[in-house]
Amino acid sequence: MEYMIRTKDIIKSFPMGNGETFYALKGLNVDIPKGKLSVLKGRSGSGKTTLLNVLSGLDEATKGTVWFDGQDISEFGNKELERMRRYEIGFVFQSVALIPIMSAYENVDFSLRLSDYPENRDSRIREVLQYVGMTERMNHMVHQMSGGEQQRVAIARAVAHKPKVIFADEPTGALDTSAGISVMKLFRTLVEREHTTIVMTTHDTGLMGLADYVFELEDGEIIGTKRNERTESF
Amino acid sequence: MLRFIRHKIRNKKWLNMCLLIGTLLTAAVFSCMQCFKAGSLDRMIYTAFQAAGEESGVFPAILSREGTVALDTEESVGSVNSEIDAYENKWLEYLEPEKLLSQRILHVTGCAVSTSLGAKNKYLDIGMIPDLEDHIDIVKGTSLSEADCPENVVPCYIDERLYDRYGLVTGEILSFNYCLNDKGEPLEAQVAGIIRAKDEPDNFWHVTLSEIDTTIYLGESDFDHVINHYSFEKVFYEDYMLLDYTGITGKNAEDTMYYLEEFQKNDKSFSCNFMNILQEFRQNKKSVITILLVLLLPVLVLLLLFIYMVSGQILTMEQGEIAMLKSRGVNRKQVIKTYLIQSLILSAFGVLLGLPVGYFLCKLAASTDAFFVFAYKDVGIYRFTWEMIPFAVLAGLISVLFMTIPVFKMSKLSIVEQKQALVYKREKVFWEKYFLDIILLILSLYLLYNYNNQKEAMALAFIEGKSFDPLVFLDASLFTLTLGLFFLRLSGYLVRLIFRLGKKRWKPAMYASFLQIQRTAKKQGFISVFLVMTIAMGIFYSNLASTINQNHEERITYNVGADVRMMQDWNLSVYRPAQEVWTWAYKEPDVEKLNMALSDEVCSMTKVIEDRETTVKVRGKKIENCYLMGINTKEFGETAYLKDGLNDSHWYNALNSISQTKNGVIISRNMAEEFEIEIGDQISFSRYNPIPGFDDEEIANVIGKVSAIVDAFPGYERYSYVYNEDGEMTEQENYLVVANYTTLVDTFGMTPYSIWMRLKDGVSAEEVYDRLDQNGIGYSEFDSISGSIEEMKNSSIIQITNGMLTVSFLISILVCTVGFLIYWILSIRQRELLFGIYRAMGMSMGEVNRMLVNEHIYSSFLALLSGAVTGVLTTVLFGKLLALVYLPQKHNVPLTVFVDKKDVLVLFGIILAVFLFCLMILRKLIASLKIAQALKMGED
Repeated sequence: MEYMIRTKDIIKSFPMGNGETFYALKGLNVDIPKGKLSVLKGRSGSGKTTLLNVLSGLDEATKGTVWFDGQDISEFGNKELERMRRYEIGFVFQSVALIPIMSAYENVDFSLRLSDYPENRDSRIREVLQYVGMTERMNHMVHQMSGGEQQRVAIARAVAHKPKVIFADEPTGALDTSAGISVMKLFRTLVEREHTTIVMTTHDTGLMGLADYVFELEDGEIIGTKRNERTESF
Repeated sequence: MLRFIRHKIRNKKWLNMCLLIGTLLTAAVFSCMQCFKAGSLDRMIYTAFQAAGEESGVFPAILSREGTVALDTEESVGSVNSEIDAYENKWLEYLEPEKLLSQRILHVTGCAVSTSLGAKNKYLDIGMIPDLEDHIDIVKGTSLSEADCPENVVPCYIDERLYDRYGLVTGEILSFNYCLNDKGEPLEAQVAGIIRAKDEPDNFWHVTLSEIDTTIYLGESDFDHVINHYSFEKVFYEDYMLLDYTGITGKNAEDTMYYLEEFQKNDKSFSCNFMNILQEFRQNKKSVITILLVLLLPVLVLLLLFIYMVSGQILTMEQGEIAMLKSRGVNRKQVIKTYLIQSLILSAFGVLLGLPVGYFLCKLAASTDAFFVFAYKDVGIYRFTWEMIPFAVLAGLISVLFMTIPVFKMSKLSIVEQKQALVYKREKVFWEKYFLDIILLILSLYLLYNYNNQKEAMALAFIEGKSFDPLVFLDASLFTLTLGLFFLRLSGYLVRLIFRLGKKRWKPAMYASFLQIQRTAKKQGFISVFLVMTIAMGIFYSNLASTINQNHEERITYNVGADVRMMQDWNLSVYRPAQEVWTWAYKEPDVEKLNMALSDEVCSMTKVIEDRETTVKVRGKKIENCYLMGINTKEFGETAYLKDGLNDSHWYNALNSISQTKNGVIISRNMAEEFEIEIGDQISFSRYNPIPGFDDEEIANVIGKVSAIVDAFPGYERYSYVYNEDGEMTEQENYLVVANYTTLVDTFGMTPYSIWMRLKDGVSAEEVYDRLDQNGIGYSEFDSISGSIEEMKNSSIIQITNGMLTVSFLISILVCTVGFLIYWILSIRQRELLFGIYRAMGMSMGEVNRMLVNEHIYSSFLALLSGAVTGVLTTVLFGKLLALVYLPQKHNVPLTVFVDKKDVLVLFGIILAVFLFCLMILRKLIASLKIAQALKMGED
């Protein structure tokens, strides 16, 4: 199997006020398959967001190695990390995913500008917004959209520049069940059609069935990996 | 509740600190205004008294009364004194200033006197001056007590001038043949001593011995004896009470004036010599207070806006708390009460700290010499006054109001509305929406147009001492504000235009920052208005101050004409050879001595004949009271100053033209126009007899050939202002004739001249003054450019203007810095998540910096630029109009607006430094931002 991201013995620790050290990740090893939807599952405080941050280069591991598409990003400097996040990664965050001073269209446009998108930006923006069903509301400002709509735009923004990996931190956390399922279905379509690798965190067990792989975390360690055999496509 | 408020204040300590600074400065400005007003008025009245004293040579605060005491019952000096004392005590009962001393002159009407040495028909009165012997020197003879007089002869003093005039000697007995006692014997007095006033400054001599003239002075007991035993009907007295005028202050001047008017109304024999000073003070007081208010008003508005802005910011951040409180059942009243108490606590501290700061600002303002130029000065007259306290408290209460206004608005909102208020909306600010900037800008320009049309009438009113219309100043402030806002509107359009022009090509940093500027214009609008106002006010104030100061200086330099201009003591001898007409001659002072004494100080010196009563005639038409100057052209050219550009050609050309023709004259343009004459035409001018009573007799006249016509000439003021028959102030033209010195002396004889001097570099007029004193060189007039400039700078109105403009600017810079920093720090804090998203999406630190710089360029820098342009335009349009308040007279040196490039650059430098400092802090703040943490915060 081909892997997009691999890790070896990742430790992430934080100093605490009383002089002790808190270990968020305790020598963790995980391999994220390429072109699949992987879910990091766990309770609050289990370390899934920390892991996601380390995998995406948003945060540095205290110890250990992370290979991103075969490159050791632990050795990367700021510039290389920025470059990686800019061109190869798309992000979907939990609640305030969008840039509030921009409309839906502008949010996607901004992402394309960041990645120096070589083709016609306008048609790509319209394409991805149509893809997430937001064409009609593309000129709306963030505060004029519902949570689910915002998350759709965030997904459109994350995929617009055709990144290798999309990281999504609790993308359904602030949504109701049907909106959450709709987001997950979008992810699935992306994986099926564009073979994008998606890594997301969630604690919603109801959504696990839509993932290819589920990694369960507890106290900074992977305590279980599950592979869902999938036949249907969206 | 207090614990909750304390917690609230601690929680937002920096913002609350800003509120405290705002309240403190408001209280400081209010109390400074009061302190400065009191000090300025005290100083104004004090300098008015001093100037009046110096100008007239008479003590400037004297209450006097003339009266008589009938001698039908037995009277004594003591009883007359008691009557005078009663009057004096009554005056002092009502007036605040204390008595310094009194000069009393008592006398009875005398008669023609014959003397023991055979003189006859010398008229003399018999007088007595209490405490006379303390104030005189006995030139000849003895004191009264030591005099050895025959029986029934009383000893007396006579003044040395009378001694000269009547040829009396000590020991000579004077018989008052018509002043008889009960036995029919005439009064006899023996001259015991010849006296003169002590040779030292002595305020006692309000009326000098020579002014009293033909009087002998007896001792008190002899005077008592004489008035009771000889045939006199009444004693005349004059009482001059000198008041300590330092006790007349701005505060009690009105009362003093009221009581003096009452005394005058009720006692026809009462008079005082300083009513005009008090009346002039009453008029100037209005101008002083108005200027003070109008100069401080803009900064007060700025401060209150600052308080409003910070309070609004705190509330925006505490919306959640308010919502939480409301959800727990706290009603709107309780929310308002909480904020009201918080505001009261902050204001109380602000007032307490504001008072000393206000006092300090007052002292600082008092020591300014020009805009932002501080000099060491005696500022003791600016004292802490109790009135400062209620004003500071009032400032505190106004601050409380401005702090709580946003609460009223905010506490009305429901939780949902509050949430909505937090999001970014594409909304216009109210002034932009309703075009208030353009409407008010047009209004201010219309007012300006009106004022410009009324300029001449306004100038005449100022000259008359009428208070000016404060709207003139307020209009300038309105123009500054509205033009600033208009520029902000334009810069908004500019940003949109630039964004659109490059919309397809903008890099992400520029794209995001342009959107940020456009979408947060409402929030940024407030700080932009601050920036525009501060820089515009700073530039305008600095230019206004330099326009006022420099025009004053230029006019003084023009009027005085040379570094020092003095007139030595000239003696006019009048004589009448037998059977001939009265004739006269001036004794020329020793100019050589003057030359020698000042050889180290002066680099050139020249004699200038000046006569302002010359009559000029041309073809039967004449102009009287022309200003005639007699000059030595080369020396005059080397000594006097004249600003370039006032005449069509350099004034040296005019000097050269008369140096080549003995009877050549330079005349003023208005004279040429009046007589319709040109260069080459002839004029005749004549001077008059200097003997009093003969001054309508022409001495001689000169036929001069017009060699040059000038608009301006050193020392020549074309315009003066006089009251006409209807009591209205009118403008009057003055005419000039300049001739060769030698021509005038040849024709008119030795004529008093003044000496004009140019001093060596680094020599002050003060040094010349001292050197003259050291060498015993007397003078009747002494004027210097530097002295007059200093006097101008110390005048109350200029002092207030320089002081208040400086303080206003200082405060606005401070408020602007704090406001700018606070705005940006909060803006960055509020945007931490946004920056987190940018950074997470791969934006580099460099790009974030570029984004910030771009934001600053298009919001702050455009605001600064707008401010600068606004400041300069306000100066250009309003500078002359406002300078008219200070310099209303028409003058040969026209009012020029000075845009001091150096000042503008320094100002820009200060603001730029503040700006960079803020940017550094912001950059540091962003650099320390941890992306993952920022995103986490966003989630929370």
